[in-house]
Amino acid sequence: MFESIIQGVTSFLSWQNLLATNFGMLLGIIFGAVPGVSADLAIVIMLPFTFNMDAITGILLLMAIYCGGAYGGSISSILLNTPGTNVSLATMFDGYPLAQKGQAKKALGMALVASTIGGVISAFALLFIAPVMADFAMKFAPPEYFTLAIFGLSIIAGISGKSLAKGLMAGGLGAMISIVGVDASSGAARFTFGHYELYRGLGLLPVLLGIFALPTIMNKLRTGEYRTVPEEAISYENSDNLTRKDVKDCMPTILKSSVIGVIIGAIPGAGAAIAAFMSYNEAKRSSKHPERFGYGELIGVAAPEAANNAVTAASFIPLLTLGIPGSVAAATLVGAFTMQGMVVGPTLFATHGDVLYAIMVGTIFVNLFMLLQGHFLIKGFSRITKVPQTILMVALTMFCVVGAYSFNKSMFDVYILLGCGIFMYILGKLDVPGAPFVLGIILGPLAESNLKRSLVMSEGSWSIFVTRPLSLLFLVLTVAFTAYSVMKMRKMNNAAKESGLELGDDK
Amino acid sequence: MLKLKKNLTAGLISCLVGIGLWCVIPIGITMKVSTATNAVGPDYMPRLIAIMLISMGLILIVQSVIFKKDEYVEIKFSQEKMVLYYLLILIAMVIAMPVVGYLPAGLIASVLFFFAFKEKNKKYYAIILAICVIVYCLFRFLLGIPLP
Repeated sequence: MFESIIQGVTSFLSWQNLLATNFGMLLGIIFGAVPGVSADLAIVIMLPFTFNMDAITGILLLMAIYCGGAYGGSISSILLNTPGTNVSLATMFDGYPLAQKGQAKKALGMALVASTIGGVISAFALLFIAPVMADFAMKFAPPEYFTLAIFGLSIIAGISGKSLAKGLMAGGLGAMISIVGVDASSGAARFTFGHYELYRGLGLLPVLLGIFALPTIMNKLRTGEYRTVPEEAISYENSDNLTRKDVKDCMPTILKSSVIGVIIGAIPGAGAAIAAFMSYNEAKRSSKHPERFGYGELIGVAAPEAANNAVTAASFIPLLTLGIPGSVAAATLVGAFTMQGMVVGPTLFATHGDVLYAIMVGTIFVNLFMLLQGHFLIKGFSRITKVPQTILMVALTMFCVVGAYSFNKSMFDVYILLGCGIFMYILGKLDVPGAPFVLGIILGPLAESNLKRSLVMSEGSWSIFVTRPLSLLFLVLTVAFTAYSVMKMRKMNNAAKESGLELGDDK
Repeated sequence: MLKLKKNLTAGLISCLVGIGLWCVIPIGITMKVSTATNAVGPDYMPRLIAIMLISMGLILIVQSVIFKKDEYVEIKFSQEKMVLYYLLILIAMVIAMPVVGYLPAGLIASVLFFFAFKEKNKKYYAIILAICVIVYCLFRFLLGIPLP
């Protein structure tokens, strides 16, 4: 492993990779900081740009956006009392009161330090856990993969919205989209109706853009949010600086929250918002002065920020080892890997280990770049919240149309974008979440191919899934985690409602 | 104004899509493939998905009708007006793209979007037109993707 890591460092250290990661980081912080858009959206928009890039450069660009977005949300939470993303909701509870007390610089500094430490710990976890898990996953047979896909989908469906049934409905709709085209195992054309564009199936990128980008724009138009002039951010320039003592005092909490973030991140679909809230609650519970929380306690900023950034790299563990995307960002990365001719899953370490190690090592550097950018560019970032929404919406629309077209150089994909966008906008009104929809598209084919192989193995008997210990374990875990996650999400929704905001997808 | 029950409407959509999928399988998958077992053909997964969609739909309908667990969503046409304008301009742009090309269609659509948003700042018009051109150049020259 040590040799692979050294090889990864060598592969990472090229000017293209350094440029791409820094650009991605900048973009991620911007999209994270602007309320109403998210890093997930930035990743989807930037996906077509990675098609012509080297695999390491392209995927690191997207990883950097994801990591930057998790930190960027804290800027608007602290300065505007509006979280850039739901991921930063918990940061707002103490970040904004700190800013009001003239300690905005201290709060922003702590958010940056905690995010960096959380992100680096997460990147190391990815580097050391993923290869071991992938090695273990090589022993899985089709029944284990099928139950694993069901495990991933049901958990994501359970916690990404308000209702498990709606989450599973969205997952089913996504799986339905994935079956259009030529069936890989039999070669039969499905739902193509003689149209040659449908033979290759519905492209992931147009569907992603349709599900995430267009409804975001349409919702802003409906609510009139695009007309609102951003509130004046609290000035941070004459406020208190973060001291070494502050960092030292918060360090145990940062480390504990980072571990919580890594664990939550490694569970498919659990998400950074949950990790941030759990860490905030844990910090408050273990504090000698819990009464100070909510009134500008610095640890109240450190805990959620360390946790939400610790989720980032860890959420790629299930993707790289099992082929199960744990988040929308990870699902988008499946598209990036696929376009580079790589199939995500345990075999990826055997076939493209050099690329993976470079990406995992690069993720550590990405978090260090975040520290540098956050330190030197914070003045600019604090102004980002004033980006005119009308420009943002039209620019995003243009990127969506051109991005969808670029997928296959076909107008058909633009029509898919429009169709998915309108459909998801309607479903969004009914509280049907988008994340399980996308994961259904990715997990659908994985589940199908392994279900077929399993049933061939068992001569048509479904008992194969309960007679094999590992597959039975995944089924038991599916039920247990889903029940636990739904319960947890309800609590989070209640907590969010009390503060006037709602948790949904991590965006 | 249209007032809809969220769970009930989502349930009905899920059931309708599921039933639609089930009905369209014989037309959509005509090729019969022999496998080691008779069970797993190319229509196996679509049928499972249809059953899943119908089941989830029924659960949502039961939640709404029997357990009265539902919320209302109000669709106000005055609020949706702007979304409709946006979609009309977007659809017009998409139709025009293969005929006149991305750049003219995108530039005209951007201006129309801003008219619809009642944007008065002339500087923003200049910025968005520049963004359209930059997007074109990025894809055409940097990524080598010929746009229509």
